[in-house]
Amino acid sequence: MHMADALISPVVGAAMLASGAGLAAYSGVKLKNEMDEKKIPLMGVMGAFIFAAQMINFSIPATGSSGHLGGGLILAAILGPYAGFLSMAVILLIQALVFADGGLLAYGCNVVNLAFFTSFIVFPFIYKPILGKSQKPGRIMAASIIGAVAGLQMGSFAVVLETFFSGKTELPFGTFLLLMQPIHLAIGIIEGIVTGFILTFVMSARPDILQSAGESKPLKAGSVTKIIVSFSVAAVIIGGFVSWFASSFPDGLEWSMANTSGQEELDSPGGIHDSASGIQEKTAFLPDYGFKTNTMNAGEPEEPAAESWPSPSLGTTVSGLAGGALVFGLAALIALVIWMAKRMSNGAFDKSKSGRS
Amino acid sequence: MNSNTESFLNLRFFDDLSAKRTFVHSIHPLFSLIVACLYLFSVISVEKYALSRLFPLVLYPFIIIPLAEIPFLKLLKRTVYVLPLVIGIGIFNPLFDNQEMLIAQGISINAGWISFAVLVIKAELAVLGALILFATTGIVNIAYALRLLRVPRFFVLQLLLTYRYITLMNLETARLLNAYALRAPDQKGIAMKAWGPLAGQLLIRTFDAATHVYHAMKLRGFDGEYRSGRRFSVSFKDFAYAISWLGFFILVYFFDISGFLGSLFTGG
Amino acid sequence: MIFPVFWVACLQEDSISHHYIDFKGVSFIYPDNTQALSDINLHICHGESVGIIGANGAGKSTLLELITGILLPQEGEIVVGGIAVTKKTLASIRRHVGFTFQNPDNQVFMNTVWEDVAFGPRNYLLSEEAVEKKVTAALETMGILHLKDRPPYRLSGGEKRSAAIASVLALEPDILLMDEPSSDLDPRARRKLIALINQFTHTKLITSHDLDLVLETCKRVIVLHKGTVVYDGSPIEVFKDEKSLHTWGLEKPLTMSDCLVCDSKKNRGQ
Ligand SMILES: Nc1ncnc2c1ncn2[C@@H]1O[C@H](COP(=O)(O)OP(=O)(O)O)[C@@H](O)[C@H]1O
Ligand SMILES: [Mg+2]
Repeated sequence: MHMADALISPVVGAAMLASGAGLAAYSGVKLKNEMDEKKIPLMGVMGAFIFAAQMINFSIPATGSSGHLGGGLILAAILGPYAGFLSMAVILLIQALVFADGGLLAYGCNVVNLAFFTSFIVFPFIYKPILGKSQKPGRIMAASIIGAVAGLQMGSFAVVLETFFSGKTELPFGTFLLLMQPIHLAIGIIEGIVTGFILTFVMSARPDILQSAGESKPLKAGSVTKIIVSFSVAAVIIGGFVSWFASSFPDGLEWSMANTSGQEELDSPGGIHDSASGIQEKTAFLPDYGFKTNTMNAGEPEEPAAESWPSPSLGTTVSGLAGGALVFGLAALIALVIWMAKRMSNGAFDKSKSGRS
Repeated sequence: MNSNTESFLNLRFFDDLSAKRTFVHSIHPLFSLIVACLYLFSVISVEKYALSRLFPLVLYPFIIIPLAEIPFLKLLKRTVYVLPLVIGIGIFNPLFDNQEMLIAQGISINAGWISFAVLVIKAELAVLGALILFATTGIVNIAYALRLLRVPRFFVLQLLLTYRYITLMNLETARLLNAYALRAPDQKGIAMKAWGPLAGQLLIRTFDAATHVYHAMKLRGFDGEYRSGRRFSVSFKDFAYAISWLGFFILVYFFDISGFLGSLFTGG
Repeated sequence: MIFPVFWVACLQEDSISHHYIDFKGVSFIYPDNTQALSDINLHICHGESVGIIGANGAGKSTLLELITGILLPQEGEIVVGGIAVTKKTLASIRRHVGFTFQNPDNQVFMNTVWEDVAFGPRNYLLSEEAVEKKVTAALETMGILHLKDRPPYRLSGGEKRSAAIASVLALEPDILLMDEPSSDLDPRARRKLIALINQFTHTKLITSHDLDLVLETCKRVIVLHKGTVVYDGSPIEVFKDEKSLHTWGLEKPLTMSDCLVCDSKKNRGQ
């Protein structure tokens, strides 16, 4: 599942982008050291293969439904972890640019969710150990299914985490998790079976293709630990920095009606409470993204706005909405004017025979 | 057939648009990229209940789309893919967040619906922003901008190669699927026993094509490095373009245009 | 009856011009044990234009790929311009050899025609001005300058072929190898191709099923049959020998056969 821009906060987006970039740079360096150039076009064409393979409907027996190939695991199996990761990262970028699948700011999230786990966790620690040295169809199938399931479970868990820390939705953590994990279990099993079938076929028809991936130096446990450690350190540092930055403004980097209405000061009782919440903000981890304790109760005056989620009463007013409609209308008008002017200058008016103008 | 040709048509659509020569297309791709990212950043920074503050941000697509001669409805059609997910997740907002939100004296509304609307509009705007960027630059120029941003060569080359071969692989797959459908006319998808052979064969062809491509590259002096060679000159126009948008985004960030205009008219 | 005639004497050969090609006892076997070529001995002179013909699977593509070093022979040696083709000498040999693939899709790998043709010159670290000159010249030669910003999937088969040839011409090779260059060209593009090949005065090897093209462009023909050279000599002579052509799975060129259309017209009594 692709993370969308709308679901993430700038903090989460930036932190994940930085992590994704770090991982890509690391993979690039690794690849340069050990890769034969042959993999360069192979990565590109394999990436295109994943796009193409996604249009195949694998009909699932006795259910009437169908599954699709995800891609991450098969790329790692053919290309090895580093090239597989990069190839998947390229696919995700094209999807964000051309297919509106996942966003540009959510790109980092998608790289981590859909490329990192399969390439750097599943492939070396699950897929390869299960596969071992064997090339038997049963082994390939088992490794593919377990690998795909594990990869998707990690990925969907990350989606839940990222959404949760972004605080854009009200979906409680547990509920979201309960929704996401089982769905992705089913998807993972199908994807695993499809991957397994493809790999067994390739293994029997053209073993040389899979051998070329096997030849690429396997990830050493040490280097994986290094990746994970640097990945987490980067995420924590960036996340920490950005959220510190965020917390030094009243409502983080996010829009705040308080800036303009000044209502926050009016609402807060002030004095001790203010400084207490100030201290709390400074000490809490990701202060703006804390757990929501309870829904706000209008009858509880002692609950200051600053301690719960942004006060809803500050969000939108009728006059704000009316103004918004006005702005929208103006923008549409501008668009229309530009469009008309364009048509005139392109001489489209003269050419077009339709009465539409 | 719809999904068979879908991504192919998408590429065609964008390749056509990015080949146009409008003012927007003439902007240095790096500046286009930066402006697009600033725009996306502005969109996702809107606070979850601040519906009215989203409206000024529609100005960006509303100006660029006609200026760049992008067919609005066709572009809009391509943004709907992202909505199911956002709606699926966002629909829980009204369910779980049913605080009453006072929007005017005596009028209140379920806050969850506000945040749901914010989420969906944001999703739409963010997607528009990304697609507009691509429609006004194109893959070759995006690759060039990424190189200027010091994105490593191999990554940029991968981007170009993958993009190039999507169309080819898609046509190949479509042919394969048609051939399959002709011999199994009553089937909806691909039967399980054909999963491996069908997709596997495609993968083998992929591999062989890649080998040929590799040789074709080597024969023309490829040594593992990608050289984009292109040069765009940065002109005053590019700075003016970027700075105007930046100014607008900052204005929208710090100043509530909707609220201001609304208060003028409602006298509030 | 035709007996193979091996051309040994090279009229123009001297010490300065050195773009000749030697095959010395070359055999090639694919990894799946298909013997594609066995014991090939050839000398291609500097500036010679040679047509390589033979049925599908005769080994024509393999022969050309061996010259470029895409494939390396298990037995024998190939020498290009005095340098033996080995892993170590590939880079220097490839600077002189231009090769157009049988399938242009594999050769036009960038996203616009311009970018693709510029790929080679840029790799040789030319200045962007020089690149621009070479690319423009190559595109003009092929008559496809107007296609320069087109993505490859927007090209017809023939246009793609022309782009692939332009990408090779931009490198100004001394030896030109073309694998079935006319296979998807329309008559006019094919005409242009023939003129172009005839303009190219350096050494060239062309494989083709289009025997008329071979007849018009090559002074020497090599016939491959099941991986061996069965004829090497003048085109006219071999194309007259229908019986042998038939054995090798070939057909007489149209221009050399009797006019079927006129005949039929006569027969119908028009
Ligand atoms: N990659 C390959 N692997 C195995 N056999 C091959 C391969 N390419 C070609 N061959 C075989 O080698 C022989 C010569 O092929 P090729 O040189 O392509 O013939 P031509 O170009 O004359 O049609 C054929 O029998 C063909 O099947
Ligand atoms: Mg051939």
